Amino acid sequence: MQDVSWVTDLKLRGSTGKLGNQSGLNNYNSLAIYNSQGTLLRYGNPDLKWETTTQNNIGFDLSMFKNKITISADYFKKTTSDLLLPLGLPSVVGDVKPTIVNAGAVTNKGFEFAIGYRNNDRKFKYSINANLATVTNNVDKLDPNLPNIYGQVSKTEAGHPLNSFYGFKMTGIYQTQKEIDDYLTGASHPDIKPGDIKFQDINGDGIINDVDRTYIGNPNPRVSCGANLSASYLGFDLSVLFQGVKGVEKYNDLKKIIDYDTRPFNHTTATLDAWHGAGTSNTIPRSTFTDNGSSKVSSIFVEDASYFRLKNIEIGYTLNLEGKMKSVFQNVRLFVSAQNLFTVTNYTGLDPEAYNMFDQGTYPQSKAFLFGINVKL
Amino acid sequence: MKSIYKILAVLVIISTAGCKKELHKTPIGIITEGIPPTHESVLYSVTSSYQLLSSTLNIIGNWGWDDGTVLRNDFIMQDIASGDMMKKWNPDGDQAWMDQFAEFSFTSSNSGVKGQWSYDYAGIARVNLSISYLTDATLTAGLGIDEATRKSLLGQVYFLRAFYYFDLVNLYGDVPLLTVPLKNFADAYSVAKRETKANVYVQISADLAQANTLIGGGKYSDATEKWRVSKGAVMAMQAKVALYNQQWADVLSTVTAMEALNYYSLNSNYFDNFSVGKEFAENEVIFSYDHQSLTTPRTGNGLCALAGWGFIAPSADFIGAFEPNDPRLGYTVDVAGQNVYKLFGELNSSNKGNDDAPSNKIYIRWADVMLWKAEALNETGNYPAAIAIINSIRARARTTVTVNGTVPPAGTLPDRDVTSVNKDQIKAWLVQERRVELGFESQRFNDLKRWGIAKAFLTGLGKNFQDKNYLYPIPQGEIDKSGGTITQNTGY
Repeated sequence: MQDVSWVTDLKLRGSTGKLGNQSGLNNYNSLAIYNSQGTLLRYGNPDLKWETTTQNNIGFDLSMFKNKITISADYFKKTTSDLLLPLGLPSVVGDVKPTIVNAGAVTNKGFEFAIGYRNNDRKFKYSINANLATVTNNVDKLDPNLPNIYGQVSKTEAGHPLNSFYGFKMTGIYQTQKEIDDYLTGASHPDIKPGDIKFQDINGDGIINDVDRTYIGNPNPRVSCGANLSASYLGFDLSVLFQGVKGVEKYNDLKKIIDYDTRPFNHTTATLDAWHGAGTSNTIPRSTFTDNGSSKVSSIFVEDASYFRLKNIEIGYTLNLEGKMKSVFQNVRLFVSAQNLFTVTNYTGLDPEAYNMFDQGTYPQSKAFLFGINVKL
Repeated sequence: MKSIYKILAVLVIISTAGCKKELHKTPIGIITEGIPPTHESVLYSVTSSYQLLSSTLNIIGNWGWDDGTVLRNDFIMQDIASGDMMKKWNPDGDQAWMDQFAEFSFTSSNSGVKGQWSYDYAGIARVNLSISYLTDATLTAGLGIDEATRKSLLGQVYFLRAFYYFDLVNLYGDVPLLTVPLKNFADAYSVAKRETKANVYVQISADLAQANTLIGGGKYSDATEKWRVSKGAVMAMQAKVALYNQQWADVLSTVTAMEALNYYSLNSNYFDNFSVGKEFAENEVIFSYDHQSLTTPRTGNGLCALAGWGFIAPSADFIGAFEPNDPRLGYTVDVAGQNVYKLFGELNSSNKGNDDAPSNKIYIRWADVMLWKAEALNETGNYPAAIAIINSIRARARTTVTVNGTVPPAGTLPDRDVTSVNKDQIKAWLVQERRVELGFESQRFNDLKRWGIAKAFLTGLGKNFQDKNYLYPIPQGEIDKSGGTITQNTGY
């Protein structure tokens, strides 16, 4: 390899490790707790212990052309056993908060890839760094006591990603009474009207009930990427940060609250194209203050929350100081920057970057413009 | 070298002055298991067991409309479902899950179905904890609770457990039967399975028998805290259990025994049952939840808050059920002013919109008990006695001045024909009388169901009542969270 002059540095890496993690635990989580008057608030779990993550990693770092180009790639597999999860108990045991349990094992695996290019040789200096990561999440097993763990709109079950959205699958809108009658043959259905959401009858018994629920989305991001550009020329400097996520779903509960709630709220203009007669829409149910199917947890609220966002851009200019100024100031820099300048997404909620997978309209990140002067004495 | 010795000395001190104790610190600022109950917490375990019977807002949860836990849902599960009550005076889309009881379109995910289940089982969980304390005589003696008090308190919580289970079996049929507090969360999976209705009734009867033995005589079990379960309340509940199981002889013997106590009679004025000013100073109410304003924690009646938001209205069919000039209609609802006086506890709208109102929630009163007796008499062929009771209820109603202070005209609510020997006719009179006498008191839907006339009556009102609706669905969340060991009712 010594005579391969374009390789500056090449390193192959492999690692394995085991890590205890108790970030899911707070003080006294193993104990039952009571309020000051002696009413039970939460059941304890005396066997509670930290979760263990085993991570295996293989990859390489490569620098080329005198470090102008750097590449780093990894494949990782991270298995967490004794996974810590809050477990909601059936209400028959009383009105209690979830108990934290070691619920099972989950695996995350994927690739990480980063590439950088920099050019510092001339007056116009610039560098570009980009990264991309993929993750696949899968629940390997759950405690036999809890074959599945339900959340408000989700279900966790072995063989599926953690906290997968679980509910009814919308197949369209009922266009006519005949369509309803032909479809719902298993029971009378006077409350269902043309314009209501049509759900998939998974077991084909002509009744839409809870056994017709299925997996309708995955809230775990599959691909995330970012890019960082920086450049300078004479006194000017520029830095740009992009970030994006591809392959993630969110439960847009805000849409339910605003557009489909049975309470008499104003709707958004998204419902202007609502169903208003046979053939008018197969995606937006009729506009009504009674239940048009929207009270069910269903795929109508599960949206692709992939996005690509210009997270930050900043342009600066450093003054070329002379004479007396130079004796007073070490450095004077003017800059203008903008955050969240633009976002490309199909998500109709307020912010695709919102932290919660169950999005009830968390206050979105704002677009911000900053102008500043840095003075160093 | 000297410095090395110094360092070694420090290391020796550090390693020997270990911190074993610090690894097992007693929790600070919270109360955990293993901390023995106090006098106060034992007494409060009883008080808190009552709370799930209240209409106080947010006893569990915090504005959990979607969980149906904002307040106890009897008015929805009974009065709206029976077709007597409408959700609101002006129909709208607010809390559409309540409308699903009027339309019989609810599913196992309906908030009300969830909420009532949660309330009853939260009550049972508190009762079971309380029983575990109060059956430990050594513990209570050590805390300075005397034996008479212990027995009375224990009897009260046995009654409450029976009360909650009675509600559950009538709403849901077979239900999980929990009688001891769980040790830890994993126990939840062994108890999360349905027990037959018959077996739950065995438990209910056993609990009531215990309560009857343990609670002392006297109209009130506690001279100062008159809201506590009394012996009369226990007997009434025993009679009601017998009634719902059509054990007519037991109904008659129990009610006769209650009459012999001489504690209860019909109030001369119908509204005295509900008037805030007459609470625990009248003759008829046997068991109620004592709502109080301005207490900490709150014990006020939150149903009045809902009334302020336009909830709780009569259906046209309900209003039409009252005979001409029946004063009870005016005390129940004031259509012009959109008031529900018997729930407000006042003959004005001062409590309408009050989320902390003092009006009690009436669960059992003497007129109800007398009509049970009339029903048992009719079923056992004692027609004149049955009619006499119905007529006594009607007489009290027509001799009550109206809500405007006027005397009902002659001929109002005439006596039923005492010579009738037509059982079906007398039953029809009884059905009618219970509806108007106990309107909006959350009895009607259970009545319709146990009489077997729910389907005929409600489909007659144009409602989509199906045979499956004789039971409510088990909340889907319970089936999910139990991993399917709790099963669904047929048809849902």
